[in-house]
Amino acid sequence: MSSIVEIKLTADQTEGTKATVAQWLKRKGEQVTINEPIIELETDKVMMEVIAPASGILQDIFIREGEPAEENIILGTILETALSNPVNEQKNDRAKWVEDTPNSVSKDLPRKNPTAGLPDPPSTFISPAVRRLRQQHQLDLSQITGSGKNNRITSRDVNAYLSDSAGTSNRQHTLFEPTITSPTAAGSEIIPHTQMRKVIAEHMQHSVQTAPHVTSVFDLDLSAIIQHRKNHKQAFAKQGTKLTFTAYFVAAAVQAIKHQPKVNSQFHEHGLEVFKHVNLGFGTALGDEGLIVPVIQQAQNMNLMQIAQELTRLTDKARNMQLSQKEVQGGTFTISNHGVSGSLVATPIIINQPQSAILGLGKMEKRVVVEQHNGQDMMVIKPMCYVSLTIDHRALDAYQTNDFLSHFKAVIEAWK
Amino acid sequence: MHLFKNNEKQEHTFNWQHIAKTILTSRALDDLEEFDLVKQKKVLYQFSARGHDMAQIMLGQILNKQKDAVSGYYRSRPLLLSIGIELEQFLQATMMKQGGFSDGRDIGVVFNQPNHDGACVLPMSGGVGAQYTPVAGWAQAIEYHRTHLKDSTWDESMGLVLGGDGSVATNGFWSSLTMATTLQLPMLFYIEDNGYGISVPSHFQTPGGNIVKNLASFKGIKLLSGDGTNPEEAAELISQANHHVRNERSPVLLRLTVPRLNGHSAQDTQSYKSEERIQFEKQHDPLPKLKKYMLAQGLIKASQWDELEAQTKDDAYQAYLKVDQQPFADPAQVETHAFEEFDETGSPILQQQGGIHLNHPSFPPSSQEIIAEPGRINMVTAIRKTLDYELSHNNKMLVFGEDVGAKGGVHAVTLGLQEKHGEAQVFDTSLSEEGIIGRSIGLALAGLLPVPEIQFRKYADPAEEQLNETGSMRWRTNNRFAAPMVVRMAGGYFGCGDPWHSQCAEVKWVHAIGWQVAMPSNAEDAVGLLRYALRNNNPTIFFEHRKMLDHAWSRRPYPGDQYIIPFGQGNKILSGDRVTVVSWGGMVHMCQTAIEQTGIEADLIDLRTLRPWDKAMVLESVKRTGRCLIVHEDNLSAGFGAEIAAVLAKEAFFYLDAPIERLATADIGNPHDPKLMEHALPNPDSIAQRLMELDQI
Repeated sequence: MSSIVEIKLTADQTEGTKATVAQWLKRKGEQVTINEPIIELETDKVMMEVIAPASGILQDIFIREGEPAEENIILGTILETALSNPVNEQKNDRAKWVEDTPNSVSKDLPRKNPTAGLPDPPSTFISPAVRRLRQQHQLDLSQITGSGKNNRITSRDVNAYLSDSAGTSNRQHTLFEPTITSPTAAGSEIIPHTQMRKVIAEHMQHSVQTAPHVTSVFDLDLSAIIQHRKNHKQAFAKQGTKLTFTAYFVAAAVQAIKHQPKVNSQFHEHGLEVFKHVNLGFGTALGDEGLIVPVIQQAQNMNLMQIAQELTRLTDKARNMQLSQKEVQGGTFTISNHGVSGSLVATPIIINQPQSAILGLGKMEKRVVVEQHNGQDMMVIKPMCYVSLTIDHRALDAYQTNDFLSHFKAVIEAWK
Repeated sequence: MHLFKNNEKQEHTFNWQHIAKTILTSRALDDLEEFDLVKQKKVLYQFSARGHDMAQIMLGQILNKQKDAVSGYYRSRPLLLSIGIELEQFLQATMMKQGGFSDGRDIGVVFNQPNHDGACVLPMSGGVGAQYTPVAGWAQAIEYHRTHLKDSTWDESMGLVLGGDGSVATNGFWSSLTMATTLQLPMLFYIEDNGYGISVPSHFQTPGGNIVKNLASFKGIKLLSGDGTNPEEAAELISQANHHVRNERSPVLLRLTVPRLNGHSAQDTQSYKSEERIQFEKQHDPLPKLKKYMLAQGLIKASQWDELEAQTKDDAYQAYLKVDQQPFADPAQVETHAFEEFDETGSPILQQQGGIHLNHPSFPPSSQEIIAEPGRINMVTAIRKTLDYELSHNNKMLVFGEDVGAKGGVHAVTLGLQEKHGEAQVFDTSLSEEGIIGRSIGLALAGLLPVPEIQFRKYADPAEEQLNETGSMRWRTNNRFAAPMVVRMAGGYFGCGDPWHSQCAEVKWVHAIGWQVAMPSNAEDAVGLLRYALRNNNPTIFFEHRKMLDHAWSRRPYPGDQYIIPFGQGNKILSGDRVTVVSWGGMVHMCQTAIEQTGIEADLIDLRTLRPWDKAMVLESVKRTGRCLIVHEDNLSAGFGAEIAAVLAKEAFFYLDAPIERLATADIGNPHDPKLMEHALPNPDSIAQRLMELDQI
């Protein structure tokens, strides 16, 4: 539903003087917005603007540059289309800016109170000077006490620290970590950090500093899922889906979360946020490079097939370094299938912040276990693996932890 | 109507062939620019002079003495053609090419032409009315050179100023009229009355529209009036005027009526003129009248005239073709010559005209070493001693202003100087700051060193136009002209304050183009900075703080007649590593008190000059301490402290450990009641408090 709108001069633009089209500010086919200037007119006194009477595409130009623009002559036409609303966007940005700026500043009246004092620094504020010193000397600021307002670390504090350190040792550099030198060492090589390494390092450190990690270990009899997998592998493959053990672990974890929802949560100062959805991340190793955690979104509604499909898709993408931001975000719970590379148990598995727990699956091994048959203790060979849950002990206790793991074990061992 | 006083008729022999050739050339240029080059956008601002031309050309012919000077305004090209400036140069200027009057920096009709051996053209202003007082200054300089320095090259010379009928309403006109008549200056005021100031008729500018009639009883000036389109009459009147100025050494105002046969500029369609008026003007075109006169007098043959007309048209066109091929001004050079510059060997690249340095004066030796006399003196005495010494060793130096002479200055700084050095070198002026600074321009351009006094900083307001023209002169003439001078201004707080006598507002001159700014806090610095300014080739504002002139803290032993402090060197009064305090002028002593009161180990830097300022010293300090407090008396918003803070935020960013702080007066005037004033300005207690906050944050 587009209409054609004529571009004409207004009455006061034609009054009294001769006008010539000096310049078209838009070309044929270009988008124009209502009230946007589109023509510059030259009169013998001043330059004037002609604004677009509608939004749309500049369809035709009838009066060209250098030609006279007279009253009632159609200068051009616009094919009217829906507004793309850049104007509204600007308004919203501006509204936000006004919100953010305190009242006294946005009015820009002359400063009447030059005796107003200095702003209050947050205790964690790191000034440019301190930042520079930290970088220059590779410092760990957590070692330094702040003497500034609100106990912030000042450059004086850093300089004092540096001169103390320099005083107490004859080291050439003022590094925080001692360098390891031994008479028999053959020297060392520096492997520069990749971006992924830096991110992992920061994340792991932050996580450990934030959450008190405690791990509980159970073991799993995988016979049932091995059997199930054997029976269904081909059917899944026909659908283009690889059926892996991880799929079963994901499915079982979802069940166990439904049974014990608190492990699927985020700890806040004011309370524990328990999620109603399960976005399940699973650690994927990238060889020597590092690891990445793709997330299966809304896993609570998925059956085994869907889980397996999603796993396949995300794993392929991960291996090809093609995961999007969205695909690694929003996780509420994480599984680490560390056993595929040989470890029996790993503890603690570092929690994927800001989640409350992480599930670890160890290496699958045939082990001799003791079972009671007809009142008699028998040695039986079973395909076993250890399963662990590392929790944030601020959020969870042994009760929820073992409740979760018990249920997880029950689901896996009873799979049909 | 003519008014002949004393019925004199002194004839100057005019070169009529030259008049004819020049007027035809002028018309050819007008036509070429207005009808061709403007349309091609090769000339952007265009002013034709049809109707004004003949009389101006005659006037140009009388400027034949070695030290004549002329200034005019945007319609003065015919006169400049008449004194021999080349055709090409005018087109280079209007076409914004390299060379010309300003190397593309100014519009083509703001003329200037250095000349030490014949009529020079003082750099004009784009502002109407600003041309007058500089010419008065030149005329005063002629008499000084002639009678006091006994330099005969200045004999018989005059200053000529052109203005339109609109300009007789301006401040500059009246100020220069006062000076010319009270001082009896050899100055010729030429008023070309075309009846309009752009669109405003002349009866808005003076009642009845005839300035000569209205000045009839004005003492000390000869008045002449007539028809500038009548060749014989114009020649006669110009001749009379010329004779009177040169021989009587007394001013003349010559008014000639002329038609403006084109719009104000190429943009003006003259829709405000009636058809009758336009016809009337056409009938008074001096060009056909000149032709008729010359033919009748046998001064030219008709065929010669036609030949001349064709030749001048062709000359103009050929000049255009030549200039059209020439390069435009080089953008890479546009920032040069705001101040005096130096070549690779360190030698100054001197302006072509203006100031005392062209003669390579030998000053007495100077050094930064202090050779102190015992006992301390206050800043008043220190400044006086410096002025006295420099006056004694520089006969081109003039000290003047309101009450400067007999009274010795309202602040007593110039006490006794007139008695010692005489009225020619130290003198009082009329009550017009426009006149004081305007004449300083003329004096400087005539090779003297003016040291004008502005009695109180606030009273620089009427002088602002001339102060701005001074500062911008070197840049806008591309170093053809400069007008070095030392403007002494008193201001700042005293026992009480008030909005008229206690203003600082020194930042205004840092922001303006081309001014150095010095603001000493004590007697020793005052000596060194003043001596530097008096021997420097740039214009300087020298701020004399009223309270510090006689404050105990400011007293110092006289550092010696050799003592000099180059601008751009701060003084570190106290040393410490915790905080940097930067200040100048009347706040320095308060900062010292505050620092000592708090016991905080701080660097206290007295900048002493604001342009140039000692950036290196401040940066070194702030990079070390990480914390900076700037204290100044001027209002906070956009005061000079804001500039320092901006520079620190950029160049010391990675060394800052605290926000950069400024303490200054609120954005108000200086209050009169001492209690109000004490509260409004920074004081040792408020400085101490802010210092402690900064130290502890």
